[in-house]
Amino acid sequence: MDTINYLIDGFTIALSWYNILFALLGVIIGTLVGVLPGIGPMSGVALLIPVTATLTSGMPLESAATSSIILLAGVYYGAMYGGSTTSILLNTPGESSSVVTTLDGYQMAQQGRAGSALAIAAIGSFIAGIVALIGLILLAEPLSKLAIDFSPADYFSLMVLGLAAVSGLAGKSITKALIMTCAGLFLGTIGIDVVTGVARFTYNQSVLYSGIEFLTVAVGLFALGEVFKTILEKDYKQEEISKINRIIPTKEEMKDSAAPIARGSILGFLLGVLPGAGATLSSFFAYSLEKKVNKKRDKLGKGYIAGVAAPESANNAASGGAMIPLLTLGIPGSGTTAILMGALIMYNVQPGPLLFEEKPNVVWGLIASMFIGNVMLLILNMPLVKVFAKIIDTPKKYLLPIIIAISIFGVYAVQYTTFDLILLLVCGILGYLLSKNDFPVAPLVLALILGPMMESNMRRALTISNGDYSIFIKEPFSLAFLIIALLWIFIPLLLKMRGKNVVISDEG
Amino acid sequence: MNLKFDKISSLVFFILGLFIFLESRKISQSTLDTAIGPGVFPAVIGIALMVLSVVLFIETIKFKKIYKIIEKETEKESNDEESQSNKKVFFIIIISTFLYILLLEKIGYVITTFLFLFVAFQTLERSKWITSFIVAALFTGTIYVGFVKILGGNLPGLPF
Repeated sequence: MDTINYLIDGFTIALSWYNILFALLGVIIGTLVGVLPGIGPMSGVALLIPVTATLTSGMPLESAATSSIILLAGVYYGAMYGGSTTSILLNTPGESSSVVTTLDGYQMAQQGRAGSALAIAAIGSFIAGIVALIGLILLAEPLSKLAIDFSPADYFSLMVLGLAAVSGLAGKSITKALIMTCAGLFLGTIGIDVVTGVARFTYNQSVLYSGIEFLTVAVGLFALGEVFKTILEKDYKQEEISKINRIIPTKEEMKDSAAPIARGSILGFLLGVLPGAGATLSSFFAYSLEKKVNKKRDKLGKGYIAGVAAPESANNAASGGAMIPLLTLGIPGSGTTAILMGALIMYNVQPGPLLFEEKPNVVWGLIASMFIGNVMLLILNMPLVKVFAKIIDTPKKYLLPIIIAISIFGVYAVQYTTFDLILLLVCGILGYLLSKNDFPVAPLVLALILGPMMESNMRRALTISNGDYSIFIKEPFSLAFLIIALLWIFIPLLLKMRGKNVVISDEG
Repeated sequence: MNLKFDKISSLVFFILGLFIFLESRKISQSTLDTAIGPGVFPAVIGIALMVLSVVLFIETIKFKKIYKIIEKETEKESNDEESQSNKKVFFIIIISTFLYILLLEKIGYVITTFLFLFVAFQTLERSKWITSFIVAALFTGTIYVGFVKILGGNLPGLPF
């Protein structure tokens, strides 16, 4: 019954006044990130890393890490709650994970039922969040126990699998996704090699010795890239917002959404655990599942509550499920969890199987705070939904330059170099150009974070085998991971060749 | 989707791959004779990049027909007036961001941030300058006072 003791310890940490404050701040900012269309969970989390680094600067390293990750994770799952708001009220999804919510959500708003759609979305998200957390608690221990015996070769192959999974599902072209992965791996090699102390690709530039900072690249590619895209492509004029009448859903709506919430939660959680799938895909799958199994499936698309309940539960469950590979294996399965991992590494906390033994306070504090955060979100979202809806009114005219200013402030406050600011701007422009031309940027960031670990595991494995590369296919786990990685790349490719439509994950 | 961009980028990534490969050979030579020196991993990445760029190039040629239709459509889009004015706004924002970055360390956070925000607000939508002025001043003030005075962070404040 270790787990329960750990969980109780976790709650004592999460319930300290400052961690409650951090969780509250996180979920509020997350909801805002979800509501504001110009900014997604990835850029939201990336932007807040420097802010949390400053807020926690006076604390001892481990509790600083706990508090920061509590806040950042709050932004992540909070955004899943907020994303539905604009889908329902504006017919514009705040996040790619809420795209399908527009189908029935906006219809409901048109029929004057926006309030119940929003309420069901919040209730569904809450239940899904709790389901995902219970799954996380149950799976975390066994998974990390299994992973603790992994050899360097196993780890290397597991990371290959992580990258392959994200690349295979990241965009319209797998080739482009793989190119971005390689570019990210290359950026990760810049700087002093930790094993031999040799400087690589630095060309006597002292700013390059410490390597390319992932934070700068992530904020540039995601936050600035999105801002530039909004300026160039969308017009930033205001749209009309549907009115919210009653918030409490009717009994019939409650009854109609119970089963879809349950199905969405479980499906979303399972897909979230898989690397690469993430919140966007799971909301799509949850909606298509409803189309197949729901008794009143004919009503879907015409403002049926199940069309809101299922995808909104699924994306929230997926964001909780995505924490499992991150925390237990040290393999982030999506762009946002990659950024969370980068944040943990900044605090010298290495996610992976040892995390549960070495830093139980960080993990269990985070898990407990996610319970609290989900309760906060439910309480916040029910009565305050009208307030959050008002935030959509924030003129983009102010929002966009402020995002640029926060990016610059954030990067400068952590790095203190003009070089990083220039890199930030370049990444912003590249981020816009690349994603506009279907080069997904999430694999690049993921590769940049995983690259150095991949390389050191590869070298350790090859040192053990005296330079014999067959070690990667001789060890059973390693072989299995490599085979799955290959399948992950080639199965979608084969399906595409046969002319099947393959769902892709925009969130990355 | 853009045929030209894909072609150019496959070329750029190929050159990058070649560069990484050649440079990583130099790294390996300059270190001790071990089985897996610091150059091996980058060399593999370089080769992979070259191969992938060739694949991308072939794909681009293969899908030429589909691309052509799409290209015509995008051409139409990019020619209309609204996107022209969007481009102008975009370039002003990029240039002011660049100036902001360059001057940040020279004349301090407060002046540059305020000016950048004010210019950017007015570029995105020309409206009452007084609101832009207040929002820019409020943001700059909050960040500076909050970060430097309350949290004890470090920022180049003012030039004097």
